[in-house]
Amino acid sequence: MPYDQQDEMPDDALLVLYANGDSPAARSLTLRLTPRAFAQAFRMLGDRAEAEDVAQEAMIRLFKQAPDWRQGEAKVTTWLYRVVANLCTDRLRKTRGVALDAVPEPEDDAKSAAQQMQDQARNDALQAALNGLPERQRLAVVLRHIEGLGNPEIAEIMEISVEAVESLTSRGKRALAQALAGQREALGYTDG
Amino acid sequence: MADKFDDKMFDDDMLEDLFASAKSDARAEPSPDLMARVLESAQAVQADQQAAQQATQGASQSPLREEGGWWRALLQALGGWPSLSGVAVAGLAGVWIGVSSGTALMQNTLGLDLYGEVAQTYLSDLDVSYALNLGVEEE
Repeated sequence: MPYDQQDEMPDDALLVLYANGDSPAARSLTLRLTPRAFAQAFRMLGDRAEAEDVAQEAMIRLFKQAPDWRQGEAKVTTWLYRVVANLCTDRLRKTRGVALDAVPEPEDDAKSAAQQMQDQARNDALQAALNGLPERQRLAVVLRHIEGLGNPEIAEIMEISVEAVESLTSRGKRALAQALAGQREALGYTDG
Repeated sequence: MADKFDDKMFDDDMLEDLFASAKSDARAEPSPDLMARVLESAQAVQADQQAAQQATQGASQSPLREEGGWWRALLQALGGWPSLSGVAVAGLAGVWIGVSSGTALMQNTLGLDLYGEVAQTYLSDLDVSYALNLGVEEE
């Protein structure tokens, strides 16, 4: 099936095509899902190199799973988020600490240099605060507030109840607010 | 109390803004190099899966002759082990019928003659082509 016809195709249907040897499906799955896997890994780990390794490993596991994929049982993205979360947890337990300094500066010509610096400072501050959260809180906050997933899907990914997700995100946000409280002005947030 | 409420509102607004900024953080986008590596992995895994699938299909379609020799091919031609067991059962049934029935099945004249070694029993009784030879000998 031509690549341009696969844009609207559900993820699980693409996986079936992939398992049947369809070459464009391999490309479609890569382009569609790698950014999600990488973004989640980056926000969990705060390190691009580590996040790239995790994203690639998670995608390879997905490709290997394709022939045995049971359609309709779980969303492909839910499965992928769970694999990424587990891989990130493994890495976090092995190597504590992050290297935000190693992260390259983003390039965005449309914004002024001052605006770029402030955005950078805010993103760094948020990432540092996220890194300070317990792993489960961090995962719940990232999936809910940055990846934009619903609580039921997060519950499925984390294999906990929806109430537990709400509790984790609530506590996570409180902890983030506390961690960032002293940087309000530095980050450009002022009362009134 | 009001201060705490205001602080919470402020923190919530700040966090929402920070989350929105994080969503557009270019650092959370995969590099072209990563995309290329993942695509390469996708193609390699797919090729391996296809090769394994073809190997499995090939093995299931290979002739028995190659695996076990001519008797396996013969067995397959007869219909496999189920057919052979049918033949074996039929053979055993024939033996049993022969042994258990004795002379009961030999009720015709020819059968009694053969069984009783009667002198007038000739091969011509079994096959008419012998009749000519019999006539010559009698002359």
